[in-house]
Amino acid sequence: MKITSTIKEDFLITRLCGELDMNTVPDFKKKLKNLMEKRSVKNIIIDLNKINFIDSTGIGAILGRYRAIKKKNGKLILVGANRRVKKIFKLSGIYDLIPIYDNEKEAFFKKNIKGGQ
Amino acid sequence: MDNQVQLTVLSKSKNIGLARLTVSTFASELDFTLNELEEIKVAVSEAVTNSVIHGYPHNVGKIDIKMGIGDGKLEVVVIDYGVGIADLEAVLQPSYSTKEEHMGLGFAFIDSFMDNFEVESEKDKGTSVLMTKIPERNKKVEKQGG
Repeated sequence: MKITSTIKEDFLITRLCGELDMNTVPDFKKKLKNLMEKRSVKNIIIDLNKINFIDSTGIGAILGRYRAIKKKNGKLILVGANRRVKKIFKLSGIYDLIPIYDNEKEAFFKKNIKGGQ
Repeated sequence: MDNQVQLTVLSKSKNIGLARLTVSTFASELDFTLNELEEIKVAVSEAVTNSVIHGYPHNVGKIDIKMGIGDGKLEVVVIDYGVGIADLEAVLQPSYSTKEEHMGLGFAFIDSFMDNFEVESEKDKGTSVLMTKIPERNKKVEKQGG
């Protein structure tokens, strides 16, 4: 899986490209952890625009990052999920936990609204 | 069956993508929409992932993925010859998981995305997951036909 990143305000924006399943999750977790440590940020936006497949293992990995970041009082926001990915998110209940927006602009606009959806 | 294919893979995570691609390509023979094919891919991914993680927790084993088309219906069976499921009833409950960071939603997703599924398992013999799906537009045609 390819991951690119930039910093904007106090957020690390990571853009994922490819599939998020059992095969790619270890790499995703490792890269995300390294990026956050290297950039010394505790807030993250994960851009899912170029994710073309995700299953429950991928969702579990995102949820794991969410919990880890929340423990350090950080924020995790998801953006750019396509209709199929959103359907899986809805089935998993992740919508109730993690803010999900259509794009980065909306995320930055709404990020300080509690539980904003 | 009008058509049948069998794929055998080792229980390695790199083979999960191959399994779902093979099944979705096979399934495209029927009148599934792109969304339905993606749903089939998720269901297969869940079943094969379960075999990799739970069927062979300590070693690498064989997973058979049998797919068939007959009477306008797709049938997929994912079979492993691993440790089997100790408590099948518990496992079929959503969010049951024996592994950290695993949501335990594999069967819930299979149930949601396929028309029917059945699980058979025997301790130390393995597990088989049978899933079936009919293209939605063919179901509507059948209903209209009476």
